[in-house]
Amino acid sequence: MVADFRAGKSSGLEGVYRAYGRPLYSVARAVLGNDEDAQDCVHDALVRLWQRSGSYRPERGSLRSYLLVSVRNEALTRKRNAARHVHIEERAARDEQLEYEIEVNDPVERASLRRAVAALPAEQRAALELAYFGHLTHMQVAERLGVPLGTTKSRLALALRKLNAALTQRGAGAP
Amino acid sequence: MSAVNDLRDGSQHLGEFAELYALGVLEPQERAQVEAHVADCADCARALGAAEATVAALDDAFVPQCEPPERLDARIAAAAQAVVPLAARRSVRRAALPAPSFYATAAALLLADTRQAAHDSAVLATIATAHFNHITLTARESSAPVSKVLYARDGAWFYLVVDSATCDCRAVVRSAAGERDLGKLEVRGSTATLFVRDVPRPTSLELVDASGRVISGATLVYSGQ
Repeated sequence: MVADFRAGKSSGLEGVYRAYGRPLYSVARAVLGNDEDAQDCVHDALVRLWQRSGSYRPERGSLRSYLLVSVRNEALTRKRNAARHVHIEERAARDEQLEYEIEVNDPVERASLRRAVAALPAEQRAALELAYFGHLTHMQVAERLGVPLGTTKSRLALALRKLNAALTQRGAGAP
Repeated sequence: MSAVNDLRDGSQHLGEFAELYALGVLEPQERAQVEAHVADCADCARALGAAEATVAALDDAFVPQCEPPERLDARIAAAAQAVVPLAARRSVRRAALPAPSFYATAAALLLADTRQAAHDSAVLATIATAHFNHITLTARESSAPVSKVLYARDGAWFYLVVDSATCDCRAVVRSAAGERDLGKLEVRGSTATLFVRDVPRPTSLELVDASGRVISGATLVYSGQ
């Protein structure tokens, strides 16, 4: 399937959609908030990546992760473009409320990730929540937190690296 | 922004831009620079992959899962089967969304054929009362006639219509049970058709000419997969 997808074969696109269509659509739906936009987003992103031969390279690891992040980025771009006519503070306030409405699918994963997020330093956790759950750009996160952009970038990168380390430890059987 | 600008000449690696990219906080121009860099840098591709895996884990844990609409299934299938350049493919997709001409063509082929034999009334009744998907077979040889397959969304049956009065083709179907040669298609008037019920949830269908060459084929996709 991966080879067919990279080669731009029909079976590659169809196989990837069969395997990952549900999580990809779910991510787009969660970011964009409606079915029509989510459909357009998944379709356009998947077809573009499929047509762009070699855009995914094996060193990058999981094709699934690559596609999830690509669809999420596409959805975020569409949401941000559409929101340019909405007052930034109104949108931020709405996003802030949404983060507490998100449901978790796997209780074990939820507990593990919540522990990992809770263990982050407060300033890193705040930045991560605004970025991941609030769908803000790095500049918007910096504005909301009132800290320099460079500081915000560092906090976000450190937060994700710590989560990665926690997940890797859990995957290796660590407590 | 300076760090990501330096990515253009390859003098720096991604650094924290791997995590920023995966989190989706970069502007489109910055994303493009990251993507261009990882195309030529294996180390940064690995770093980006690790960051993407972490965000994917967050998605798996925190994003409510929902089934894609069947309309999206059909759009992806149509895109996969299109063999035209990108710009034209987009126009095909847009035009095909309501698909009135497609359905009209398929229905016309179907109705014209089903009038020719009494047993086809049962076929028509099955199709008319069922939810089905449809797909055009992708030509692999220039001699391949235009062919469409209508198939039940639950995989209970499929109906193959080949737009040719001189079709000398066999149909080969694959499913979880393996590959099966369904034999020659029956030509009636200007079309050749085949209605099959006893291959549960077929996954692909091919037309094979008299010399054994696969001349066209399609992958059958079901929602929920």
